[in-house]
Amino acid sequence: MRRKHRNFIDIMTSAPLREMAQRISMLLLVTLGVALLVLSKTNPAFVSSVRMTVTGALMPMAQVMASPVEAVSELVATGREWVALHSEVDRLRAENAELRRSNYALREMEAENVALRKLMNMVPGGQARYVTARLVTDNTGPFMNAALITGGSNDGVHKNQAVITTQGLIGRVIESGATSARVLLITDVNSRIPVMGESSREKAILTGNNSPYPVLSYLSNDVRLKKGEVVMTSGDGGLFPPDVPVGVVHSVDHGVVRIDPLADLNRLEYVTVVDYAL
Amino acid sequence: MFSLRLKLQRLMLILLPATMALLLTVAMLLAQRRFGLGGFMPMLPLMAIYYWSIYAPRRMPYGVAFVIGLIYDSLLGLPLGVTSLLFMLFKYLLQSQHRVLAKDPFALIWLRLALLLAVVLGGQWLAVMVYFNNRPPVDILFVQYMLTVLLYPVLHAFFQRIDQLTQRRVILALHQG
Repeated sequence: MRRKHRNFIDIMTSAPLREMAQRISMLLLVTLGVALLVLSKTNPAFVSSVRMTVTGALMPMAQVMASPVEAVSELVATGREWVALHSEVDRLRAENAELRRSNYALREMEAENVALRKLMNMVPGGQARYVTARLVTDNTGPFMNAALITGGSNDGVHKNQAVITTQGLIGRVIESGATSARVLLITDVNSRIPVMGESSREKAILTGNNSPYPVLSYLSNDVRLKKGEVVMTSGDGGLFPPDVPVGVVHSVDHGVVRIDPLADLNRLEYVTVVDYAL
Repeated sequence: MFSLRLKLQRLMLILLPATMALLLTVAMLLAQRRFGLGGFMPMLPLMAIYYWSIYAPRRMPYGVAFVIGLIYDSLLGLPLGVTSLLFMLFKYLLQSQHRVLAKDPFALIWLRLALLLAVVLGGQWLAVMVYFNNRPPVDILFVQYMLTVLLYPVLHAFFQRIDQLTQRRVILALHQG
């Protein structure tokens, strides 16, 4: 019996049979790969959910692997903060005084705004909902300027929501799994965001080009935007609300306007996903 | 009857290539964030597939290359199946000549990686261009290519060391068991 069993194993593991089994498995896998590729084109929603399920499953592992490095980075950051503590206190005091001054002005404007809205019988807009998430990766490779964040549909993070930092808009959610989501950054070649100049009110589409300075497309022939002008979302298309700051005009050269994003896209730690319920 | 320790050591040896490739896929993403590499990151999982396809192809079957490709595509947001198919093509090109390759001097092995990597990255670039309907930047891809080629000797030595250590543990367990 044992000999028969051993003979069977010998036959099954013999070189020609093993090679044949390998070829069959390879053919099956190639077929599966091609099927997935076709599915990626024909049913992107399904493929996206598979991608985010896999990503979500690997997220705890990524966090465990990142924790020792993060602990060291935090230690270094704390050390740096201690060294710069005195100058930081002075800077914050000055900033605080400045903020108090602007706060008085803002309160006045708010009261004026409420009064004017009442006068005009204006319907109030919906309340935005915020979800704070942590970045796991801030750039997912040579083909895509995208980031993976820890929040997912369980936390209220859904496709097409705006993602901001305290400085400004960084992108939008393009895929959402249960516990993680992928954010397409404004610098990605596939990113298109309707924007306008803060003072010139000139409208354009902010188009990513995989460089640190995305460009403005669909501008009028007579470009009125000036270097240093703040660019914010225009709200056109209904994907983003208006007036979210995006960047400043970095250069205007022969009709090509480059924008410097307000948020430092290379040093993102925590981001806020905003559901404007549009 | 094999002891439990021996069985575990053998299992570790069998799973080592797949585990390494998986860890390197995740590490690749974390490294580029922590070290501020931006999009410039070496293709770490491919190096694991390359090494074990040459020296222990039975421990790096097509199925593992396929799954690692799927994970890579999922993490990077690429169309599912692109990297799986390219990893399989990569493995197929290696598999046909692994007996010769394993005896080759390191310089030749390194050169072959440089050539095959160009095929994989070129294929990935083409597939992404067709899928997203735009031309991905070539400069970032070139840096990725160079980083992968330059980093390979370090990882080759690391894989060799860790594989030897695991094999030694199996032999030790065999003697003790």
